[in-house]
Amino acid sequence: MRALPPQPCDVDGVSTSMIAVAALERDAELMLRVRDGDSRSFALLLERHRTPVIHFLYRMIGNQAVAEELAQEVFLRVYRSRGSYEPTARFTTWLYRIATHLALNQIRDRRHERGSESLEEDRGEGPARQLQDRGLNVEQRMLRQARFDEVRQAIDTLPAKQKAAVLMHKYQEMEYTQIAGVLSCSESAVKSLLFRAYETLRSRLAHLV
Amino acid sequence: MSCPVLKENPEMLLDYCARKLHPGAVEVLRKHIEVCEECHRFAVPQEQLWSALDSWEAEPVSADFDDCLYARISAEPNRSLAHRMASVFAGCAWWKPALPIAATAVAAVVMFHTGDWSAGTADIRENPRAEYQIDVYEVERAAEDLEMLRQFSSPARSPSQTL
Repeated sequence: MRALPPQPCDVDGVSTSMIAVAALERDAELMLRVRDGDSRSFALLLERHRTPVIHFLYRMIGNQAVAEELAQEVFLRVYRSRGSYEPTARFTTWLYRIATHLALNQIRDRRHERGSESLEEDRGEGPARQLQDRGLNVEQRMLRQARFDEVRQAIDTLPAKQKAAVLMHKYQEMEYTQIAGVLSCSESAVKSLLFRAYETLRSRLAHLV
Repeated sequence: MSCPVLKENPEMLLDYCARKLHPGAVEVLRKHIEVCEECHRFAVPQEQLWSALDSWEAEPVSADFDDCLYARISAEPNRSLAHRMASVFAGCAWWKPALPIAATAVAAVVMFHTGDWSAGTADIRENPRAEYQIDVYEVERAAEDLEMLRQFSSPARSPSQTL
């Protein structure tokens, strides 16, 4: 397993890199137990990865209901493949590879069906998105909602692979090598994807920053 | 572009703006950005973009997500035959373009076969003359899952990929 870069120590003296490595090894260990028939280990993996996977799919697809449907499919495929599992790659790389594959298929199929995507179409599919109040007045809530919509729209208009790379880099906090594993490309290709994507986003969101 | 940081190690600036750098490296880069116009032009808007992206919050997950998933998993045992059939095709990469046709053909054979089953699942052995409804889409999807697993087992992977 590739060594992680040195990180500052936590208060208890346990380095965050050690915690990260332990978590990765734990994922592989749990999945091996699932392979051997341990359903409780599958429940633990689900508990750990359910929310991040759904959030990733939500940001890729733009619809919470569809994102949860796809997330179900992701974990279903993990479960189906349990008998053949070998820890040759990180569990999360495999997991997000399945998720990205399903999301890209969904985006492609939706484009064929509708011709073009728009924020209004996404809003029409599910309940209206309400940001949490957090003690803001009406004007502040409206400004916050507008900011949220602009960010979402800017990311939504990125090419699919750039979008996936940005979401994994920003919100899933993945390293370049892992994103490369998910997208089946080189690390330098991932960096190129990200630089182009962020350049586009800086340009589109210049009025917000 | 003349700054060596931007030319040779641009991802360091990206990591700086993403707050992923070691504190020691952060301090060094911060001082460099203060005096380097090129890096300053990159880093300041990128940091602001990073903060703006924080505004995109995800929605809470449905309370019944796990229940729905486990319900689907409970319906899984009948797919074991499809998965086994798919594993036959998954090992033959050259079959992949013809997989949908092959899966349909196999499903048709299975659906109309009423003879002796010499190998199969326990369900089939209990009721050898039962007609089995095989979901062609599931066969294809199971093969796809196995192929993804097989790719992770391959010793080499081409780094080139169209973006």
